[in-house]
Amino acid sequence: MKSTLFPYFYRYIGWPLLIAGLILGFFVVFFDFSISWMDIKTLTIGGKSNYFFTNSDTSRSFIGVIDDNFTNELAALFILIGSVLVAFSKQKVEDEFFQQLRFESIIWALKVQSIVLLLAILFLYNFAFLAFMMIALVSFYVFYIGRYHFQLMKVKKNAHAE
Amino acid sequence: MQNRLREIRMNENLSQQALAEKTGVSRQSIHAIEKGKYVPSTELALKICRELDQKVEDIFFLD
Repeated sequence: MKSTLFPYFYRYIGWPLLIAGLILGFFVVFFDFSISWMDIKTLTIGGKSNYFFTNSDTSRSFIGVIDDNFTNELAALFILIGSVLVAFSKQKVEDEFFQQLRFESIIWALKVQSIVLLLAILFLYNFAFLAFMMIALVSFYVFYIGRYHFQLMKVKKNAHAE
Repeated sequence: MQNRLREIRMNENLSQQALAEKTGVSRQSIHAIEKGKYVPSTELALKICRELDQKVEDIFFLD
């Protein structure tokens, strides 16, 4: 069966990206940190544009360009790309048993994600809900990576004990 | 599904690692199959039987 997973060494790109993204994200969220030279003009869809297709600088347009500091986007991209590379890079020997573990972990992570989302819909409002939704963008990967590596650790420990 | 993989492998004087290498899977997979925690695909079951020179039904059987 042809594997759709990334090569083994991609995890060595994924982990540094993920850790860097988490550290950067922590400072952005809790200390309002931004890198000054990352002030850029960037394309936006459905936002308030200062440049294209509008007469006033507060009008909404379908597509336009806005001034933005890219630090928070960079943190989110690092976390997302890092998570995907870590989650979906092969083991040294990637066989059908490990693929079964992956499948079970994906199902488990989807169930947990759904329960957490359900609780958020019921109990979080206004800014708390928006803040949570930012976390929810990558929480699936966190659940999946955590579960899969926990399962792997158990399997390796049991096999090693014999 | 149950199996007699461990017993037959031991009779052949073959380690889990050696069987894993011969069948192209990890040692953990052989361990999980022996413990009954994982049911192998038909392809892997046939490879194991070929390496141990046994019929499928001599190693794997229904409860």
